[in-house]
Amino acid sequence: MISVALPKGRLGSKVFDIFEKIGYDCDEMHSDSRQLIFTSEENGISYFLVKPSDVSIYVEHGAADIGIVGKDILLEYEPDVYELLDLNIGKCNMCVAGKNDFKDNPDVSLRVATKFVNIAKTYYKSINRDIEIIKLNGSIELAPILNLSDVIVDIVETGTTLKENNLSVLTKIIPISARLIANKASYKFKTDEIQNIIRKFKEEIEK
Amino acid sequence: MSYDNLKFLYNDEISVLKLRKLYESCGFKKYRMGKFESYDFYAKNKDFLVGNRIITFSDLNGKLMALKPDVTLSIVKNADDMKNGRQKLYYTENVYRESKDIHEFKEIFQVGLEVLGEIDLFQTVEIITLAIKSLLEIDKDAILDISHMGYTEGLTDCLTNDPALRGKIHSLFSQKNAHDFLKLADEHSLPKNPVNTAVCIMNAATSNEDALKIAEENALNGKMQEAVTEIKAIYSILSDTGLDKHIKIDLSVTDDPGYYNGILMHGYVNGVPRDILSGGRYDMLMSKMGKNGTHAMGFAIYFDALDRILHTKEKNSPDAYIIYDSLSSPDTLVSLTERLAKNNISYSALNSLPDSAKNATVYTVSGNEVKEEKI
Repeated sequence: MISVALPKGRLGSKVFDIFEKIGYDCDEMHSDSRQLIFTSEENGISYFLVKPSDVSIYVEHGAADIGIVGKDILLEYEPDVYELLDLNIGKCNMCVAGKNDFKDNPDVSLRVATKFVNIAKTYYKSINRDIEIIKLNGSIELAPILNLSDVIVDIVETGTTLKENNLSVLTKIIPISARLIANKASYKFKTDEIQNIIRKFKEEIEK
Repeated sequence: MSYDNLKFLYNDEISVLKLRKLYESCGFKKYRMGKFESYDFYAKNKDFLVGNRIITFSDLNGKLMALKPDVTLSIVKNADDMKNGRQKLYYTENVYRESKDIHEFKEIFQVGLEVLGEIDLFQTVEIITLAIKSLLEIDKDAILDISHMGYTEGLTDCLTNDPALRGKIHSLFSQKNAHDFLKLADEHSLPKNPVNTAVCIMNAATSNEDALKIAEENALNGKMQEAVTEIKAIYSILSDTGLDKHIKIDLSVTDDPGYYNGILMHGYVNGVPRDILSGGRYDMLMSKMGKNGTHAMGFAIYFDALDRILHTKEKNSPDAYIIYDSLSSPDTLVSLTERLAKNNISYSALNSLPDSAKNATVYTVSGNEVKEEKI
């Protein structure tokens, strides 16, 4: 039996569709019940839906054998897991954004608002820029508008929210997409089952 | 003597005794070390430590000291010159490290062994065998991952000489992240042949025979070939002992080349989400510590990860409860407890029966009367 942590929301549904197509259907997932864990004994698989940022925690601690998680979460929390496949879905970019008329003043440290503290620190360290981090948990785009920060580091999908708030992308840090991860110990004991899933997933997404 | 009959021992204590017996029976001597070491010593070898934080304090002479975060370093430091001999040591010690999960320091109990001096094929096989047997003492469902620094280093030599890029490549190897490795290879125009080899190695084969075959076919230089030859020889010997079914050859596993140079080991038991055993050949550390020409290999088992599988609640419950009050005769109570102790029956004397009590004998003492019942 393989347990899978899926992210709640659009990405989770999209990934479950792929699981269904490759033979890991689970009838319980289609019911309207308030169940938290959905199991298909027949297909040897069980699913549970968790907050996207928690998927890697469930997998790293072995509550799930495998999981689907955004690359942003992997870069931010650096969990000790295997990253086995790039699903090439849920694509977006981790970007630095600021007001349309933003001009960087290298004389002063840059105020960066973000919920991705680790990613922002790593990026600015790589370009040797002195920064001050302002950790926010949501509505990041507000920060430069209210002069809380000079720039933000955040995920940009279409850029519409930025545009509507007179903000624009200044730098693309790294492309983001959904990844299939596995717990290291689970991978040792369930190698065949996990590799089977990977192989079928690859075939499906390469179609 | 069977440790399992000693009911008062917890499973982790039994495991430690079994491991000690295992190591002593192979000629390993117990190494007992002090709790503190000069901070300077660890600061010089920070890269070897797991995590960067160390608990420090000033001793009575004002010298900066540290609560030991690692045992191997101290053993190596204090080892005799072993150019013409061999020292076989084991230890059961606590180390103090930063916990990534809780951002606090944690006391971690470790059992491990080190062989310093001449390390030949037999010695390497003996250490690997002991690593497997150690895992099996903890759980019968155990796997020892075996890799070789020579293989990953040889492969990385074919890819690049840039230290920063080598670091990134090693990190991608450890994650089995072939997709991001291919992007990196593309960005830096890394040579095609070794790139393909790296991808093959990351996409591990399901059987050890296949893994060895792939590794041999893809060996691109002498370093890689030597590593394959050594692993093949080890695997062949272990196959004859039947321990090969507990081995997984995975040549994508790597570590810091500044310290490790040969076989690498990571051990897993079913039900624990991370490796509980780690170790390998670390001649480079010996050189760094000024013991050139001395070889070393060893491993450590981390008991912090084993709490959940080794500690069972039932173990904490006594075999019997003695319920008494102020009117109960002390003579009767003492004679009852003596009788139980003589018969190796554990007991707890209380004024009332706890809600958690189950599968035990209850002795209720009123005056000189003792009433016995099973629950």
